[in-house]
Amino acid sequence: MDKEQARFILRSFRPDGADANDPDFAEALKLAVENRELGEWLAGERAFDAEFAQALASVKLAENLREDILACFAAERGDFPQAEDANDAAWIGAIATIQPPADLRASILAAMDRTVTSDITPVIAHPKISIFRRLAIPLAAAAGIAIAFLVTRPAAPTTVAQDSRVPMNVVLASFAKKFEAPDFSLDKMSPDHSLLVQNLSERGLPYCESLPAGLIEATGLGCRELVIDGKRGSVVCFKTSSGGVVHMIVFRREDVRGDFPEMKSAIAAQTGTWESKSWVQGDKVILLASNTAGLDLSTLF
Amino acid sequence: MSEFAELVDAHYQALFRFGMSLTRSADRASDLVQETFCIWAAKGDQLRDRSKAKTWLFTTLHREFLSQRRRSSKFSDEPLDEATTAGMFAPEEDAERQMDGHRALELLGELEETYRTPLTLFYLQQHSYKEIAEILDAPIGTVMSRLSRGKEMLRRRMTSEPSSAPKNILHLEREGEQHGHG
Repeated sequence: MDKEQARFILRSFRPDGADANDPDFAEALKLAVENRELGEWLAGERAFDAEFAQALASVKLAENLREDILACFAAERGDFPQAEDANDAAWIGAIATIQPPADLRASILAAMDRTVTSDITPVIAHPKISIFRRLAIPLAAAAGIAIAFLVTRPAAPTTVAQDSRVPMNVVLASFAKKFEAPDFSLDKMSPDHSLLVQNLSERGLPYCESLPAGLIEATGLGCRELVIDGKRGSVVCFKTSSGGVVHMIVFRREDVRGDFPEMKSAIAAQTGTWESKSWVQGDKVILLASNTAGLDLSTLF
Repeated sequence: MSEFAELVDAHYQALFRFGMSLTRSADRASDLVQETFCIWAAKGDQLRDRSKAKTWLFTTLHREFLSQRRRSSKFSDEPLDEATTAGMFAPEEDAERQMDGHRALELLGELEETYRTPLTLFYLQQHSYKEIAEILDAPIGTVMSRLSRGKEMLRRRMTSEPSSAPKNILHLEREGEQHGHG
């Protein structure tokens, strides 16, 4: 090692001496001890670095930054249901004991009115939606009314408690938990959405037939089966043109509890770091979710 | 104190200064630090080797910065945001110090990001050059080269504006030049 090589290496030597025991610096440091010129250069270099490091360390912190971080953390942990898998059923059961609101029937009727009214223009807004699917929406709404009559009529509480449909917030929380687990994996990986759909179809899993406009050109990442409380659904992961990752979770309408609008009126929700949009598409319920910071799901519609 | 609070206390200051160097804005640096810890809250459990938490945090902040910059032009080469950095630098009692935090960030900001980012990490003294390479996902040799060249650039900028450079550094600089190692 010559002096120039030693200088090159020693320029990465931290001024506080934290690297003193790093064997990669040993030879260069030994040379600096033996060679006066190199030793003086190193002393000057470290003094320069120490001065600069001290100046950088004098940058004061933003006010309340620490408190804001801790508050953010508390909110993160508080928003999500943290129940273990084993307790999910109990949690669902507890949710199921909640009586439906008295005005549910009226709300569904009003929703149907809006559905019928808005159904006048979808040919322009969504030319890819087939006549069968458009018919399916009022049919689904009619089915919802029938269910509403069943649910809201005087009945024993056990009727409600037996509702095994999964609330959408549980779908999101369960998926987030799976996704954030270290062993999360995809059953099939492909950038081609049609291949992912084919894979899901072959396995009898529900899938989204009509993507939001902003996802049509997005790159597929992969898909997998998603089983939540015994209900079989699917998730397809996409990478958007902006680099964000979004997940399209699909369950059969009959397996998910809640009222959902059409795609153009998708319900937006924010849970912890996760942003979501949900809507109904024929006999399926779609949940689009992402925890990519700064990604606005609205831009995909 | 919770493990999370301990982690925050150990690293949020250096992370904020790293964020300041990247964004030149206290508000955006704060956002980046908060976002980094929020990501940790959501995904930190996946990190099996807890001794890597510090490197993980800096890596995440850097990636988050790059990700945000790709989606927005707000992180262009702007001067320091005076509105959000007011009062954040050397206090009154340090007025005699010619080199302060503001000047350090200004000087770093004059460098290309290629050099600014590893140099900031180096001067925060939190990471070895190998860890810096890991954070920036760059070859170790490349990081060493950028540190070496970046420091030379810093010295040149400081000597071109002697009034704002600390006297002892100028002295050392001249000394170095005498030895032909400027």
